[in-house]
Amino acid sequence: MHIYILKRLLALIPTLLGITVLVFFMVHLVPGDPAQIMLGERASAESLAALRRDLGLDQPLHIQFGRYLSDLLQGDLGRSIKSHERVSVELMARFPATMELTFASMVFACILGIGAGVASAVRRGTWWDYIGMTASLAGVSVPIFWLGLLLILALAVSLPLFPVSGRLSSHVFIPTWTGFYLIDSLIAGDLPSFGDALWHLILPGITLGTVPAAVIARMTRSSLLEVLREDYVRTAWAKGLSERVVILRHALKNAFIPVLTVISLQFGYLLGGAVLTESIFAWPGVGRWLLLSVYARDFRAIQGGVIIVATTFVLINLIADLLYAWLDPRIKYGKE
Amino acid sequence: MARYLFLAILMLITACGQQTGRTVVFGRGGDSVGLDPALETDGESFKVCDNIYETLIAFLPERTDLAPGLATSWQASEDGLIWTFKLRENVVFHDGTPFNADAVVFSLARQFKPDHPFHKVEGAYQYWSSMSMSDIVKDVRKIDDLTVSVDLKRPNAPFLANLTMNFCAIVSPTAVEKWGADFARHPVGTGPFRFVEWIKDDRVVLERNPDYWGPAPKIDRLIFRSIPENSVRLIALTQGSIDGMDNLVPDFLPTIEADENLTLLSQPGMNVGYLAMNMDKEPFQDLNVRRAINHAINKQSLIDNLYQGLAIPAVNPIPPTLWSYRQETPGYEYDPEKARALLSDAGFPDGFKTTLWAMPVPRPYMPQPQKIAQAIQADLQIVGIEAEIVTYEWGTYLDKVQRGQHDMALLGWTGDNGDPDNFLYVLLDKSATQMPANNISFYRSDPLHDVLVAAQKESDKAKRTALYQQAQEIVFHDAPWVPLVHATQTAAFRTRVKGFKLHPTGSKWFHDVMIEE
Repeated sequence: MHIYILKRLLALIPTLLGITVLVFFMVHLVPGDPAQIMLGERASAESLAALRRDLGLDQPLHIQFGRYLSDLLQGDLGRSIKSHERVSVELMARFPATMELTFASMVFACILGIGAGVASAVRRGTWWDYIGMTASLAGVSVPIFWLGLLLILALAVSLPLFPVSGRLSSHVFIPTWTGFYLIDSLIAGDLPSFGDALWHLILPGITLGTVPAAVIARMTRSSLLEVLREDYVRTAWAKGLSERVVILRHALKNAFIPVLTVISLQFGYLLGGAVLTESIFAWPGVGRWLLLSVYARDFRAIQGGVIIVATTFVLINLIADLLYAWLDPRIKYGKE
Repeated sequence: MARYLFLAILMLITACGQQTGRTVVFGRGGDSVGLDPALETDGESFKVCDNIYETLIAFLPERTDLAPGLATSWQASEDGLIWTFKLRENVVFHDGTPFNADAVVFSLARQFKPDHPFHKVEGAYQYWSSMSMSDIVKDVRKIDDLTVSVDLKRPNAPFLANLTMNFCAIVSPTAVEKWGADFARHPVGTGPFRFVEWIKDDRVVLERNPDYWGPAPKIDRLIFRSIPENSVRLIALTQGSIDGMDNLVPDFLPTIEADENLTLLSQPGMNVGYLAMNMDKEPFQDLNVRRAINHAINKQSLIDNLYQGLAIPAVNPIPPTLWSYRQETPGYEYDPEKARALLSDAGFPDGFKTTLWAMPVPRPYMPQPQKIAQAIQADLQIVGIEAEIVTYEWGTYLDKVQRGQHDMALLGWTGDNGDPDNFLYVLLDKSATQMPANNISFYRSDPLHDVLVAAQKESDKAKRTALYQQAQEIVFHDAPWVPLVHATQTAAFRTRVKGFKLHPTGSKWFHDVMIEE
């Protein structure tokens, strides 16, 4: 087991190296000179040359890459060319916001998705099933942008239950420890702020969690249906176990492996794909920051951001792989 | 039931904490990049800097005429080469550092003296170089504690207007020494508000400066919140979770005008959107062709259909909010018949084929450049000119037009310092045809050059006004551009928020803003 984890962690190195190469050349080969874009209408020959020199853009590409790689190995992501701030600092200012939103929407997606999936599978062919599967079809197809605005109009404007946007109300201040407001407010023992943060999390959480919820529901249903046909489940029924025990303890645990794969993939998708939700709800996260960095051709920010998101994605997949063994003891990792 | 109870408790909890003093929350589309006034180049950064820092010279409200700021008076030497500034007494920075000649010398010298300890920082002092300050300023010297003199390389009247700009704001030397490259995240100035907190992409929080030298600000807190989605920002305004916003989308105007809780502000912006004809290329050397194209384009229709009325037609290169604007310029009225006749005179009775370049991205002076290009294409078609629309990614576009690869190109300009020189000399003087050029018509007029240089050397404002009016007359006659529009700048506030005034430069000052209880 430990050897397996070690191997997987070592396998991260070529993956990340590949990502680094890919991102570096992608951002440097797309049209659009960062210096030109930064200076806009005001560019002069001298200011362009000076800025290119400052950014190292006057060097050949392979030398730029060599420099970048050696900085990266020393844990230095460089400074954003737009804000002149260290990319690591920029990322740390936004990553917790994205993670908090991702967790919230995954909690929502798992509860709703697994619940609906199990209900549909167990009550297959009934109205439960039809309603559940129609809703999940709608869920995977709904445009996030539209859903977000609709939720705002319905639950923040017509029925003002939730705030329109942001992570906190304007008058609330939470001292930053982890950047996760739910955790920080608890550390500070500030319950009203905790409530405010949670209150702000609900609409964006639902918006972002809807697509994953639908995907999880469909996967849970089909996977559970398959397992329910297995011999051991029939044996469990034959032993006279209650429905609850058969479904939840025997069938669902095994049916959960593909669901877990979907969850971990969706998690990664949410990390990078929250751009729309972040824009609609003015959520200060990584997705929107990356998008703006692309507009500005802020190549150091893009490189740093993509590498961090990709690393997180790979790590989450690793955790999912390890959970497989817990779910299905037949799965063995490597030769032990 | 439990869920409703939970919600009710949550709402109760959040309701309890509301109202901590008089707070104004201003909503905007994006976050600031940084808060070091000399390093930043974007409007969102300046909006915040406007309230933290002050400059030696300020503007009169709603106008671009100069007024005393941190300097109470200034005077030029006989030859116009030395400007002496008397500084305001008893002013302190937010960190307690006294404001004096040393601070002024520090703030300016760091931007152009290579041996200054804070010259080499992360990033570059871009505005200093893009305003050509190094070609103008020779030295900054302390005369005594409250007197500073600036030595110029050549007499240059627009230099005074440059001192009103954010990059010439006076920063606390102690704070720059303390924070170094991180000063942009820990700004310290002398302004009416001081910095409290910045949560990236979310909010910048400022509070009243209790030691402000002028009349005390009338609000306790000023918060800038980033809400990128236009429609969500409007919802937040109508609901009252923000008190004001800028950059309104035209579609919003009816909603705002219909809501009695909201007040709409608008003013012609200090910008121009134009169509440049490349006079280095056939057939645009011909004055008749350029005038024909001026007559062929229906500006009012562009404004009605593509600006939803949020612009005024341009006849001069400078907007009417700028002093010296020439009211007498008649403009080339929309007249396709006349355009055709002029084309015939020029030897193109059947028109000609050309290209029309258009930006790929919205700009403040032209929110929908592609559609503008299509409308102009249709207008030109009527008089027989077949224009193919060409577009590139934004950086490439700028690079190519500044190297003169276009026939006709759309572009524009947002003024920096409220001085006519900042439009006329920067965009139309023959010296600006050097590539990468700002004069993308490659219009080289010696009479215009003489007038513009004379206006730079002149420090008497009445004489300068006459010279700039003469310049506008020359440009109108030669028609290197089709000046299209001056886009309107807008903002909306909750009606209870009083005292906010739009400024032509786009600056957002909250010093006089108050909340009506």
